[in-house]
Amino acid sequence: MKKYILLVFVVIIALAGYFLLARGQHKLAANAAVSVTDSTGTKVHIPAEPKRIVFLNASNLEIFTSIGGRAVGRPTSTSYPDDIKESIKDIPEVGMIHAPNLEKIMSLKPDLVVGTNVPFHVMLRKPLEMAGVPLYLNMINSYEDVLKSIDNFGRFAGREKEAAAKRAQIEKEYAALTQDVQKGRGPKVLIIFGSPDSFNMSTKKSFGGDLAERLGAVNIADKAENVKDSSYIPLSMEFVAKENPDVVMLITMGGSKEILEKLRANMRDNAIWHDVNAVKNNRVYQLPPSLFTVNPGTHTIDAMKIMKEYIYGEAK
Amino acid sequence: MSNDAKTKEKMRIAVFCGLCILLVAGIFVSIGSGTVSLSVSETWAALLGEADADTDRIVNLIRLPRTIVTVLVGANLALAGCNLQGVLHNPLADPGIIGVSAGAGLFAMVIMLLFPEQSAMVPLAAFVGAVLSTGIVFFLAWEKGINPLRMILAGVAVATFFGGGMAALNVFYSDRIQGTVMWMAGGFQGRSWGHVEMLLPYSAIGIIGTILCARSLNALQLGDELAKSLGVRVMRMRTILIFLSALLAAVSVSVAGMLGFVGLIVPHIMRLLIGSDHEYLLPCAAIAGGAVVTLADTAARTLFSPLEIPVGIFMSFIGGPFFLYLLKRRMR
Repeated sequence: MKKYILLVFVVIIALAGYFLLARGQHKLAANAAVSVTDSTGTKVHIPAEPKRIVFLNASNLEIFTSIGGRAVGRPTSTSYPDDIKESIKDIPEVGMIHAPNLEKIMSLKPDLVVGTNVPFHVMLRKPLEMAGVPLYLNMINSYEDVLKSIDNFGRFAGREKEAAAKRAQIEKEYAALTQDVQKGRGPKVLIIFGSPDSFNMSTKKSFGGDLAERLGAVNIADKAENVKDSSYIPLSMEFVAKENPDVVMLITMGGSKEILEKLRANMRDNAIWHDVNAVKNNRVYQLPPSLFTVNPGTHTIDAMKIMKEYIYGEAK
Repeated sequence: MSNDAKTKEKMRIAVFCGLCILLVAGIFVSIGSGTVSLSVSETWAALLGEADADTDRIVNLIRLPRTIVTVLVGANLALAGCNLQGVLHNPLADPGIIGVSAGAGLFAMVIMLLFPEQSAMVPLAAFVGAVLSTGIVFFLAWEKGINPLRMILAGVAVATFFGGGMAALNVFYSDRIQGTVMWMAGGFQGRSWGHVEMLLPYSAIGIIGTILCARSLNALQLGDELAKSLGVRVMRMRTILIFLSALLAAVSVSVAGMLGFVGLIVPHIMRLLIGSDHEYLLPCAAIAGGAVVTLADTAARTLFSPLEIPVGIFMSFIGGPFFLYLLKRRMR
């Protein structure tokens, strides 16, 4: 019996070996034309005019769609902005951002796949390469990245004109928004990410922190020592008490007016919080999740407008 | 041979054959199904290399390697668990208990959170982490060979230590943690030939080695003294067996992520079905593990297509209650 069992195993493994050696070398030549460097510093050979692009994350798709590009695959997501929801409705879904479905992607016969710098996108690079499909990873972590992405995707979509117009429009609005602020001269702000029970402060490496800095606010999180590269750092109440921010802005998943009111009341009653300037002056705000929990892409200006109102108190 | 022993033998052969059929069926179902629906003849043509380019890519680049990975990982984890439960005389032993999972998890997380652009290195880093943490546990448990009790204690201590590291990363990179969740839950999305190449040599060594040691493992069940009198070098045998289990578990966890359940429950289910003679138990557990993981992965990726549920979650939901049912029936 034992001998036979052993034999079965040897056969199974030998078979696997056969398939591995006989079929492992599947290298189709990519129809490469242009060589570009993506956000991870990887050189990618992409077609000069990609015709069938699959997107793995919503932010990249939003920018691509807003300049008139038409994707052949999109991520499963609930956070698409209203203005593109309709136009992308019929594009097939390829799975959630952190769980892209390789088979679905391949079935759409893409000549380019665009994702962002997260583990499950990077891991797709090798299998996609074996199938001759390039993977371009595009990160959007700042206002500059938005502009760069508009240029890039304009080329991908063959719609450079639309992209240039979009870029000019955003730059114009940006100039109008920031003309009356001076960097580092605004009020002290604290941007809290997450739930009030597990606080994290957004630093300037995060998108929200980047916008706040551009609007002239002094982000107290950037004063913390040991910040280095973190986008978010755990919040210390002692630090908040010492820095005494004038404005507190919350970024939470979902949330309604009632929750914000409740939170404000809680902070007023809380001995630690109630001496903080922002709480005393009732300047605790919630940033809209649709613009701040996911990257706002071409809606960056909308996000900045709201943030500016909160920072400089033009809102009630 | 008495009648009773004969029926037992028949039962074992029946179970073994049944499992083989299940495994083969599982492999065919796995290769035959997915998001894209392909007919049997198309799939077969692709396997023989005669299909058009698109079908060929889907079958030979996506499904085939993934199926091989699921079979090997399932077999490896079930064998490792079976081995450890026997050697350590502990029914709760699974690859986690010797520190493998924690080490692999921490190293994989460091790559995924701090250097996401290097995520292709995750299996390798996880393997290094698993080997390292197991090495520490071996070192702590060494007493002219491995002392089972010290092994378990050292395993828990090392797992706690590495677990602390993972919790710290969770806190400091809370914004990126979503990207690691799928890995931590265990799954096979995007697994391809590179992973097969990594799995194959270690699995071969581990599987063949373990099955060759089955008789000694049986002797070890009788206690050290009796095993010694049967001519088994207890310390050496135990060390070899634990080493092989660690190897099997390390390479599997590195490729598939934190896949719980298989290593713990599959051996127990097989023990309930065919008894604890390791000459039968080990091969049956390996085949059952392979079949279970392959079928579960097929279900996990097709049920809600194009969404994939992590296969670990899927197996816990189905396997936990099934195991309780077997246990309950046995008690009656």
